[in-house]
Parts: sequence; C-alpha cells; structure tokens
Amino acid sequence: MREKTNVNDVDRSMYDFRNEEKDVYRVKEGLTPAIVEKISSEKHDPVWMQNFRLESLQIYNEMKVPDWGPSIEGLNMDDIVTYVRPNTKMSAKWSDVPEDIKDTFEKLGIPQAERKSLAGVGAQYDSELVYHNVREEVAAQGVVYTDMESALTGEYADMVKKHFMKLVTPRDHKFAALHGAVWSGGSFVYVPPGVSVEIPLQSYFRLNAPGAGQFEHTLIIVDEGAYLHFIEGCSAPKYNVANLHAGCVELFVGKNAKLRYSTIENWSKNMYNLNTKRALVEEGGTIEWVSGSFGSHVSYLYPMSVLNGEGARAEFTGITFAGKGQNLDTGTKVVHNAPKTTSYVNTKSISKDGGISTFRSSVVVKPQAKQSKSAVSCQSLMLDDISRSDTIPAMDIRTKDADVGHEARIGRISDEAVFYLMSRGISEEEARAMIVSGFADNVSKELPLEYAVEMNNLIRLEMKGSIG
Amino acid sequence: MMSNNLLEVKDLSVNVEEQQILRGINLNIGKGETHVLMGPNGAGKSTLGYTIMGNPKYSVTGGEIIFNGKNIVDEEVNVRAKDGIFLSFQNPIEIPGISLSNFIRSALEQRNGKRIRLWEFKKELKKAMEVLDMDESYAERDLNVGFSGGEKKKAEILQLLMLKPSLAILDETDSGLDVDAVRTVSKGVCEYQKDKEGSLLIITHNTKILESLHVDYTHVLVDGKIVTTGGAELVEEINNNGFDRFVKGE
Amino acid sequence: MDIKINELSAKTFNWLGMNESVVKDVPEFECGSMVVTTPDEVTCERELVDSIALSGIDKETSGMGRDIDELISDSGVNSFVLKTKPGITSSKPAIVKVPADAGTINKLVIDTDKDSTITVVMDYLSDSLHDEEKNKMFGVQTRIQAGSGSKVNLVQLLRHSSDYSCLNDIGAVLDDNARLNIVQVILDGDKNYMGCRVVLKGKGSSLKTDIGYMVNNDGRLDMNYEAVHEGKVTESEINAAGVLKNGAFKLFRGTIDFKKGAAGAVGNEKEDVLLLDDNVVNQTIPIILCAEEDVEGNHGATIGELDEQIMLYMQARGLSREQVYEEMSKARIKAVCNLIPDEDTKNMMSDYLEGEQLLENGGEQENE
Repeated sequence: MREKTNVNDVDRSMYDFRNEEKDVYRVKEGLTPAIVEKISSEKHDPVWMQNFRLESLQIYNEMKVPDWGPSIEGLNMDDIVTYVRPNTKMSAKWSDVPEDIKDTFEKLGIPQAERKSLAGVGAQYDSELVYHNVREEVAAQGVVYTDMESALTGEYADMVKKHFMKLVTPRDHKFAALHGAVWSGGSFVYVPPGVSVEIPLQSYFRLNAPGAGQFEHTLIIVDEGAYLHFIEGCSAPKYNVANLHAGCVELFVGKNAKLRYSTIENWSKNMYNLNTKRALVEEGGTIEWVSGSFGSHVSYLYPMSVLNGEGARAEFTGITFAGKGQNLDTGTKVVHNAPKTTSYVNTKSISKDGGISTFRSSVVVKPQAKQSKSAVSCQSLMLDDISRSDTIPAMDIRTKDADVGHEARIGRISDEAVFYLMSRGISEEEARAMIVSGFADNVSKELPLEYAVEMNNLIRLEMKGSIG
Repeated sequence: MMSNNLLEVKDLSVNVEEQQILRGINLNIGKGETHVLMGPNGAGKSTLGYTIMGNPKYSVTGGEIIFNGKNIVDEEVNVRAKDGIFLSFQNPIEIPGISLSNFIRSALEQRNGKRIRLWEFKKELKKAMEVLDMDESYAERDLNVGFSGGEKKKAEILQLLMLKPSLAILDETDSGLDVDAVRTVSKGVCEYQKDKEGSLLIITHNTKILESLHVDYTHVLVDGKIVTTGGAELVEEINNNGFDRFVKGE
Repeated sequence: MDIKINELSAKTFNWLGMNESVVKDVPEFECGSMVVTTPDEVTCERELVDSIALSGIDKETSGMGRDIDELISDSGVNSFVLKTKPGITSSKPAIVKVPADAGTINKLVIDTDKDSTITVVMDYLSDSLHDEEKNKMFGVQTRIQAGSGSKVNLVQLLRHSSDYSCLNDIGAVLDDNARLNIVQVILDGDKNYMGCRVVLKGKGSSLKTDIGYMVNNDGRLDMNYEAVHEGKVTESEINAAGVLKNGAFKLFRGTIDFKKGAAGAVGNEKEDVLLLDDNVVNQTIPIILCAEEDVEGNHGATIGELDEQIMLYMQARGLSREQVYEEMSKARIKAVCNLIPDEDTKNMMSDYLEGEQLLENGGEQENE
C-alpha cells in the first residue's frame, strides 16, 4: 500500500535556506568572447570544445528570443553570472565535501537517498559537480557515471565528442546556443550493451549563488538492450535577483534499450528555467519521461523524443503546478521518424493563486512513419478564477497509415466531489488537497516512493491555506 | 421520547436555485430507530437527505435541524460527518487517484483525530468487505472509479460499516441493483444496526431492502411536505396502491 | 500583395508553420456581384463598407483578422445588409449566390433584432470555364450581429471549381441568449482560407459550428475558428469532419477562449479526419485558453485511415476499395449536409452529391 494521504506537511524553508557565498572563482557578469575563453581555459577544455564554445556564442548573439512563450523580459543576460565555481574539488567521498555544501545536500536528503535506494549520485553545486559516486557493483558492470569535465578528457572522450550537442545543436534556439557557450558541470553516463542497472542513478542540481546561471550538460548513452533509470532533482534558494537555468540533456537510447528519465524540478520562484531535453531512440528502444514541474518563475520545458528506429516508443508523463507569480510553459515534442513507432503523452496541470500553466506540445508523424500510433491526453485543473490555464497542442500528420488521437479537458474541482468527501468527515481543505493529489497520481505513481512522497508534500504545501 | 431523540427536523424549508423544494418538514428520529421515507419522484426526498448532510447547494430558508441537541443548520459538512451523520449517495462520486482503503482510513483518522494502526485497520476493513462479498482488490482501487452501479453501492455501505455513524441516511441505495446485490446491501445494513445503536433513515422506492429490517416508522413525502406518517404497515400499503391516495389527498 | 491571415491568438513553435498563414499575390479586389434573395420578413439594403464600420459592427476582429477588413475597405465594397424585425421568424431562407469571379470580394451583414430567426444559405459557384488564367481568387466576408434571443442559421456551401481560391471570413457577436448555427460544406476549390471568430458576449448565448470538408489533389484548406466566451453560461461547439486525398493539405486551428467572467461556460471541439493517401499533410492545433475557474472545455481529435473492419465489411458486400472510400467520404459530407436547417437546400445538396464523384483524381493520375 502506498502512503499518500498521511504524509506530514513540509516547510518550504527546506528548499529556501541559502548559504553564504564563498566561491573561489566567479566570472564577470555579462557575456563576451573573452569571458567564454576564460571559462574554457579555467575548465581546461580540449581545443575543439573551446572552438565549440566560441561558435555557440556567435550563434547566441545572432538568434532572437522566442516570440511565442511566456515573457522573459525580467531576465537581463548581462546581469547573469555564467560561471561560479565552488570552493572545492570534486569528490567521491562524502566526508571530503565542504561542510556548508554537505549540509545543503544533507538537508535535501541526498546522501540518505543514496544509501537507501540509489545506484549512484552526482551532486552539483552552482557550476561544478562537488560529489560523484557510483556503487561498486554497478561500476563492475561497466557502467560509467562521471562528471562531464572528466568525461571530456577521459577514456570516453571520443564518445563524448561524437555525441556532445549533436542532438540539441546550438542552432536549436537562443538558449541552446548560450548553453553551448558557457556549459559547465553535469553528468556523463554510459551503460554498455545488455546491462540493466536495477536501481536508479541520480543527479541533484543546486544553485546557491544569487544572480547566477546554471548550465549543466547531461549526456546519457544507453547501449543496445541496456536499461537505466536516471533521476534528476533541482532546487535553489530564493533571491530577489533573477537566476537562470539553461541546462541541456541529451539522451541516446540504443536498439532495444530502455531509459527512464525522471525529474522533480523545484527551482526557487525567481528562476528562469529554459531547459532543453531531447532523446534519440533507435529501433525497438523506449524512452520514458516522468516530469514534475513545481518551481521556477518562468519555465520553457518540452522534452523531445525523436523516434528514429522501427518500433521505438516514447512515453511522457508530466505534472505542472503553477502557483503565485509562476508562468510555467511545459509539455513535450515527439517526432515519429520510423515505422511502427508509438508515443503516449499524459499530462496534468494545475493553476492556482494567479499562476499560469500552459501545456504545449507537438506531435509530428513523418511520411515514413507507417503504422505509427500517438495518443495525447492532457487535463487541466483551475483552482480559482485569478489563474490561467492554456492548452496548445499541435499535430502534423503526413501519412494515412497512422493512428493519432488527442484529448484535452479543462475544468475545476467539482463541488459534488468536495461535498462527497466532506460528508465522510474530511475538511474542505483536506478534501481539495486529496482531489488535487489524486489528480496528480499519474505522475506520483511513476516515481520511486521517496520522490512520490516529496511530490505529495509539495502539492500539500501548495494547497495549504488555499481556502478562504 | 424527547430525551431519546437523535435528530429533530423542525419546520424545515429548503430552496434549490431559488426554487422551494421542502415546505416545512417535521421529523424526529430516535436512537436505534429505523425510518423509511417514501414518495413520488420529485417530492423532495433526496433534498431532505442532502440538506441534513449539509450540501451547500441546498439553502435552508427556515426551520432547524437539531442533531444530538445542537442546531447544525450552519455547520460544515465535515463537522456534521464527525458528529455522526452519514449519507449514502444515490450516485457516489468517482475520485481518481485516491484508493478506497486510503480514503476510509483518512476519514477515520480525521474523525477520531488520531492515527489508526495499519494492521488493525486492514483487519477491520477485510472483515467488513467479507460481509459485503466484496473482492479485496477493491480496497486498492481508486474511489468508485470504474466501479459498476452495484460495486459503488457496496463501497458506500462499506464506508458506513467502517465509519459507524449514529445516523445513516441511505438515499436510494437499492436503486438499479439486482436481487442478489440488494440482499448483500441489506446484509450490510443489518450489520450496521445489529447492536441497536445506529439510527437509519432509508429513502427508497423498493421494499426489498426493507424485508430483513425492522421498520419503526414510515413517512410519505409529497410536494415538499410529509403528508402521512405510519408504521411498517404503510410500506405494504404503498406497495399495493402506490401514492395516489396521498397525492389526491392534497 | 501578400496578406497575413488566420493568426493564432496564442502562438506556438514557429517551425510548425501554424501560427498564421500568408496569402501571396492577393489581387487588388473589386466589389463582387453577389445576388441576394430575401423572404418578405427580412429587409435587404446595400450600404458602403465604411458606413458599416462606423456602425460598430466590425468592432471585433473576424476569423481572418484585420488585413481582410482593410482589403474590403480598399475595394469600396457595397455590402448587403440583412435585417430582421423583432420576434419574427422568417418563413424561408435568404438565398445568397456568391459567384466565384476572380479578383472580386463581397460582404454580407446579418443584423438580427430581438427574438427573431433567420436562415441564410450562401452558395459559392463558379461557371465551369477552365481558362488558363492562374491564381483566380475571390472572397466574401460575413458579419453577424445577433440581437438578444435571436437565432441565426448560416449555411455556406463552397462548391466552386478547383481552379478558384477563396477567402471566406466570418465575424460574429452574440447578445444575450442569441444562437448561431453555422453549417459549412467545403467540396472543392484550389486554396480555401476559412476564418471564423464568434464572440459570445451575452449571457446564455450559444454557437454550434459543423464543418464538412473534402480536400483532393493539391488543394489546400486553411482554417481558423475561434469561440470567444465572454458571457456567463455561454456554450460553444465546433465539429470538423473531413477527408484528405492525394496531395491535399489541411490546417485546422480551433480555439476555445474562456475569458475571465465567463462562469458556467462550456466549450467543446471535435475533429475527425480521414486520410486516404500518403501524400496528404494534416495539421491540427486545437487550443483551449482559460482564465475562468468555473468552465468546462473539451477537445478531442481522431486522425487516421479508414477502419479496416469497415473496409472489410463493405468489400465483402461487393464494393471495391475505391468505392468504399468514395462511399465513406460521401457519408461524412452527407452527415454534415443533414444538419442544414432548410429542407430545399438539404435536398439540393443531396442531389448534388449523388451526381458528384468526390474522390476524382487529378489529371496526372488519370492518364497513366
């Protein structure tokens, strides 16, 4: 039995604490080739990477900000500090991590989770990974889990070079270009053919410095017939200046391989979350996205699945909860590029306290994608009449031999349902929270228990005091 | 008689969306008594049930509802439930994402204000489900979601058995059920009343459910008023002759 | 001249190419020669477009957007204004013949008084002289101001030949309890651009739109439908059913927009597209915008080829594959024609469909 209704309320201060800043190195605000070169030399990039960064910068300067989503006017790029290196070297021993940083992750429950249920953990503090560890038995299977910087020069350097920003190119959009120029930190994972990693790997991203940007790069390659579950958690304390997260996730799912990628995003509410995630799936492979968006001031987030091989599958399960001051524009993109590919999208969004949530998607079925199937279902819940909830799904179908379905529903908590629960002795606040938790159940049941509990805590926290 | 009163409805008038449905209802229910409320369609039977439970859609324009000596007209629905009123819904609501078992446990905990040990809860739930011939798998299914009509009604009676209210209002609990299901439901209702503590107000068209119960009073509701009150024999009469006598008597 | 039309009220990814449409080489339009026959109960006057603009009937944007208003204004169109008297139900429909004359544009205004009912049937026909002239475009805009409690039935039958492109635009405002029923049947044409924006301003007003279309060969159908809920307990329903064959292109934009204050509003949108060939392009973007808690919005779409079970069943009864496609396509169009609220028109369309071969292939496919 899953415990869902009896979890205790959490205090948001759990995420809102902040540490005194004592970075050893911080580049100047704003962005010039000189700054990019400086980041590059500071990070001891190979030459190709330095060139890549400079080209990306040029593309960044040429491209326009998107003209269709939420406003990002409050984000002045000249004020964002792109590289903040914490005062530590990366460590594989928890005891070696400096006290204040360790304390941060302890409060967020990261090492406990590792001990309990994770195969490996990476923890990024501002721009660099400060801790990285993988269980011995997992490493013995040949699984590589390391920080991106080490991967660039290590044993897998060629593999990294072959894949790095090939799926999400700097030309993709302005913030992908920015990422290409200033990326720092993140993880590289390689799962060899046939290896099934039974317990999840996790990366936790924490942005502590005010007015900073986080640009971690995650590159995961799951080789033929292999399996991996990767979990990503994000949080930051609240500052009065805008922070920016423009990470990039590139996932390569090999033939008959399967990758599940779960994210619980709880950035603080001054964060501009302009993240790009994409998966390329080969024949018979599966990508499963599980995505919970709770934090951020503004989000643009549409994990994309490119189904390139026959029989490839994508599943996307998402929930977005937009509260006061939040404009969360989330959804997914799917491209059916090969025959017999399937995609299932199931999302829920909740708007409350003046929050704006937008579900945005695109499903493209190419002429060669014969006998493909796509089903998109999105439901939205409006908790009051000062909030907003929009649904903007697009479909582009170019073969007759495809089966495409779409349904969208928007509504509110029914008075009848509240009355029904109250008639069994449950208070109105509790009844509404229960209905909202139930509404979000599709996502929480896809998450490992601790994360499901955390998500329910977040919902309860958001729902608290939502009456009267 | 007065001291034994659990529920006293006095001169109760109720509007739904500006339209008057109940016009001065008087009804007393004593502890452990079983009352039956009958009447033609649209007479206001369900309205009375909903109003006692406190559905905000039904506005009380006059009169009082005294429960355990306290006027509850202005009480919240959940407070009335905690005080011991239970309404079995004619059309139980489907709530995705909350399992039947978790829901009953939360309701019990809210009611008693303390945590209930999982093991004890499970044991009791299992026992109650056996009385109702319910497959154990229903406990983990989402509340009423995808339940058939009969399963929904059983889930209501299951909640009745678990929550043990002092007054249970059964609103057409037997409607749309086949003979076997009616028998199971009335078995559940007997179980609820077996220690003679719980009172019942049964709103029904059907007399099958009443066969295994001892009926103390029968009320006939026509056009928002109780026109006749009698004993168990009134059920029989209505069964044979319908409501014509009472409607014409208006 | 190029004009921008059918803009989405909420934009999305630019690479999809759905945010708006650009119509290239739009001619300098002249006033067209539409013929209007009205029953006795309805008055019909002619008025210059600029004076209509002054009356405020163009205050809300139409489905296509402001560019089309400018075009009409520039061409000095003398528009038809149909008016009803309070409480009067017209015995017969007003019949509007819209000739597909290249380079012409027309405007029709339907202004209904309190509690009246009017049915307007607009028939788009071309003479079948297939001359060599390319880019033959014509247009018509229909503006509706539905007074409180009135009912407007608008039927549009687009059956001009496949060498004509059409700009067909609707803009409507509904007062309290007004009802607007639109039936559109789109059978032919080169490029058809359809705009339709209905503002449900008054409490209890309602809109029902049923569209049946058939796009064949390299035809293009570009649609933008918007139901804007401003009033309380307003209802809208948009149903689009169609068939795409050969190299047909279709883009359906459907938006239900619940404005703040539209408490109790309900909006439903349904799309059903039958794809008969592999070269078709079928684009759909069904949007629900919501700034009010107490509303219900639904959207559903099914897109795909003919159910194999149906195909098998009908083939077993002796029909060829092509015949099954023809019958099933006709069935869709007929289902929409059956919603036409005028018996004579319904029968006329039924006869017309009997004689038509809907899925006729283009010239190239015929000579192998």
